[in-house]
Amino acid sequence: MRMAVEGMGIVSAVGNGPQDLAQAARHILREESQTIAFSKIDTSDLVRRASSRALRRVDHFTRMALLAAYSALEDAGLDAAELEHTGIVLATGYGPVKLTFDFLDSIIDFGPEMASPQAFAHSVHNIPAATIALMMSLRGPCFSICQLDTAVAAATLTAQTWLAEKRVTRVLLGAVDEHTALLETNARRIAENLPAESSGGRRRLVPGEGAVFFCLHADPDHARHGFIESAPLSKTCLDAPIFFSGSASPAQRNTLPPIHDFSPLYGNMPIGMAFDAAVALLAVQGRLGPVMDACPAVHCLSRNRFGMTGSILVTSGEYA
Amino acid sequence: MDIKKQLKQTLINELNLEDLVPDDIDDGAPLFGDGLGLDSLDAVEIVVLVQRLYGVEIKDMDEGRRAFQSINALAEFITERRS
Amino acid sequence: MLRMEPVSVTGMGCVCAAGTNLKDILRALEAGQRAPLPPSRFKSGHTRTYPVFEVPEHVRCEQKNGPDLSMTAHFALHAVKESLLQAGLAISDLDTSRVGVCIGTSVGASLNLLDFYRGTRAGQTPDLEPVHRYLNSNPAVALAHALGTTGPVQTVVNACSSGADAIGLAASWIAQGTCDIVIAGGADEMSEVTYNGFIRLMISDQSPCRPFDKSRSGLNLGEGAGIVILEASASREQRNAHELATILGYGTAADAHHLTAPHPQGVGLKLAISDALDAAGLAAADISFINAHGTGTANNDTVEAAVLNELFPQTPFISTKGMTGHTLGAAGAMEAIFTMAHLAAGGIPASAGFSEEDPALNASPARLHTHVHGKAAISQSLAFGGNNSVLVIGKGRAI
Repeated sequence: MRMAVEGMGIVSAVGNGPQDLAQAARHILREESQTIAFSKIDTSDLVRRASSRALRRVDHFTRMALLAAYSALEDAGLDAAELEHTGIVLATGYGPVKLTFDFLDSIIDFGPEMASPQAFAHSVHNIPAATIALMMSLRGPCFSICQLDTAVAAATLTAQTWLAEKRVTRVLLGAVDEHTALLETNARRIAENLPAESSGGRRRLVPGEGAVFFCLHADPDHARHGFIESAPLSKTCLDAPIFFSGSASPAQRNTLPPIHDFSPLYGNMPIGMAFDAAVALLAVQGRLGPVMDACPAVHCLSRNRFGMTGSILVTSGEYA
Repeated sequence: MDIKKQLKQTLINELNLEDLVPDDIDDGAPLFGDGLGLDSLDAVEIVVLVQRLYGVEIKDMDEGRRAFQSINALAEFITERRS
Repeated sequence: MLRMEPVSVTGMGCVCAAGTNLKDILRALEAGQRAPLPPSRFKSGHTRTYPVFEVPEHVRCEQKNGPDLSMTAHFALHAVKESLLQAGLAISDLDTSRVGVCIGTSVGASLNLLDFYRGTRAGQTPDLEPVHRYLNSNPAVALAHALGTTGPVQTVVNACSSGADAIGLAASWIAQGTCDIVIAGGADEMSEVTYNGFIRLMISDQSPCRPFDKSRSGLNLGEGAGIVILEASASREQRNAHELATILGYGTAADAHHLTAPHPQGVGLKLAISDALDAAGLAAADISFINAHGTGTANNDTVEAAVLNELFPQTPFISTKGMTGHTLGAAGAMEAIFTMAHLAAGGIPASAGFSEEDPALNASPARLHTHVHGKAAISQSLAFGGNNSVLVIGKGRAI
C-alpha cells in the first residue's frame, strides 16, 4: 500500500529544509565537490514551536527529531492540535547515544549510588518518540525502532501496516541519529571490517547526524510530494533509479538503472536511507532538475553487515 | 556562597532551568507543582545532587517530600543532616 | 480500527528466572515459590541490595558455546528453539521471504558498553569485541540471520511494552498477508546499567516485589525471553499444525502525559483497551481474566487498578512479575504467553507477592488459584514514556 506524503521535514548538515537538500543533491549528481561540516546541527529554530522551559530536559537527539516532526507538519499545512488518529514511528540506528554515555559517565564519575536518573530515563530508546507525542499531544500508537542500517525500512513497513488496518489515518514517520566523538572514533576503527556492499562499507565518511520526518496519510488525495511504500527491489519498477550508499561494482554502476550515492551530504549514518527517501521525493517531483529529470519512481536501499537489504519505493502522483 | 544560593544555582544548572537566575527563586516558594514547577523526575535528580554535593542521603521519597517543600526546607534538611 | 481475523499461534517458547522452558515456568508460577537474589554477575556498587530475577546459570553458560552474540540474543534464540519445536518447524522451513521476525527489546539494542567505555575514558584503545558483538546482536536482525529468514525484520524498542508491541505488529503482518509465519516476541538480559538506572529513579524494591500489595515499594528487574510463532491459516492447515492460541486484537496508545509516570486516569491504557477489543470484536464482559503489567511500583499499580475497576470490575487479574521480575522488553511477550497457557488451562495462579489489599486501590489480584471460563483474556503492558499496549488473546480453536 503506498502512503501519501503530505509533508516532509529535514534537519541536516546541509540545512533544514527540502530546498537545501535539493541543492546539495544536485551538486552530488553533477559530481561537484562540496564542503559539508558534519558538526552539531543547529536546532535553535525549535523555540518557535515550544518554550525553552518545555524543552529544558530535551536532548539534542530528540530536538533534531522534534524539529523535523514539526517541520513536516508545517510543510503539510497542519497544526499538531488538529491531528486525530495519528501515529508516530521513529527509526534510529543507535538510539540516543550521547545520553546513553552521559549516564555511563555519571556511573564512572560519581559511582552507581550517585549516577544521574535523568540521564538514564532519557537514554531509554522510546523517550524521543514519547517526547514528540507529549509535546504534540498525540495519543495514538507510538513506536521506536532501533535497528542499525535497516531501521528506516522497518519503520516504513510499520507505518504502512497501521494505515492499511486503519489503526490510524495519519503517521508521522521519522528517523534520527546523532554524532558523538565516540561513534566517530569507533566507526573509523571498524570501517575496515565492514563488507563493501553494506551501507556503511564504502563510506569512509565522518559519522553524520540529522533527522527526517514524513507526514503520511492513507488517502492518496493528500499526496503533496508523492508516495512512499515498503516494497522489495525485485518486484517493481525495474528501471527506476536506485539511491544506495553501499558499494556497487563498476559493472553494476554502469548498467541501468542508475545507482546514486547521496551519503556525502548526510555522512555515515544508519538512517541515511531516510535522507535518500527525501531526495527521492524531490526527484520524482522534478525538483532535482535540470541535472536529473523528473522520474516516476525511485528505489531507496539500505543494506546491513549481513547483507539484509531494506527497500523503499518512492513514486510520484503520476505513477500508477 | 550561602547554601540557599548554592542550591538555587545547582538547580538552575543541573535541571536546565536556563530561563532563571538564583534571585528569581523565592526561598519559601514550593519547588514542585505550582511555584518552580518541578516534577517527579527532577525530584530523583535532586536526591542525587544533594548526595553528591553535600554527602546527605535522602532514603526515600517520603523523606524527599519533606525536604523538597522549598529552598528553605531543603537547606534546613541538609544543614541538620550534616551536623 | 478494522476488525482483525484471529491469528493463530502454533508455537511458544520462554526462558526466565522461573524456568528454562514454558512447562517448567508454568509449574513454578502455580507453585508460587520465588527466590530473587542480589545480582550475581556484577558488583552492584550499592550499599543496599536490590533483588533481581536471573535466568538459571546453565542457560547463560550455553552462550559461550554458541555464536558470539549478546546474552539478550542468546535468550531469544533459546526461546525460539523451544517454539519451533512445538510448532513442528525446522530451520530449513524458514528460508523464505514469507517468514518475518519481530522482536521487542530494551537492553538488547542499547550501547550499554560500560567496561569498553571505561577503557576509552581511561585513554586506552580497548578491543572492539564488545562493539562487534553489539553490532551483530540487534535481536531481530540476529535471529533472522541465525534462522536464514528473508522476510520483514523489526526490532521494536518501546521500553516495557516492546514484547507486546512486537507480537501485535507481527499479528498484523499475518492478517494483512505480508507474512505466512512470524517469529515474534521479546528478550532482555540483566544489565548493570539498567539495574543502576531503576535504583536511581527510586522505583526499585529492596525486597521481593509485591504487585498491587498495600506495602509495595517498587519493582525487581528480571531477564529472559518469550517467543511465539504466529502463522497464517493456510500455512497452518497445510502443515496440519495445532493452533495453541490466537491473537484476537491489539491496541496501543500513548498517554502523552509524562515521560516516566503514567497518566493518573489511565487515558492511554483505556484507549488501547478499547482499540484492542474493537479489533477483536469483543466487549469487556467477554474477557475472562487479565494479566496486568503490575510492576509493584506505587504509580503503575494505582493507575492500573483504577482502570481495571472502571472497565473490568468483576474480572480476575494477576501480575506474574512477582515470579519473573520486570523483564523489560521481554515482559509483554512472556506475559502474553502465560495468558495463552492459562486461558487454555482454564485457570490462573495466585498473584505472587500479593498478600494485603491496598484500600486506596480498592482492587485485589487473585489470592489463590482461580478457575476462569471463557474464550478470551487480556495481557497488558504500560511502558516508560507513557506507551500502553494491550493484546486480546483467544483460545486455540479446534482444527
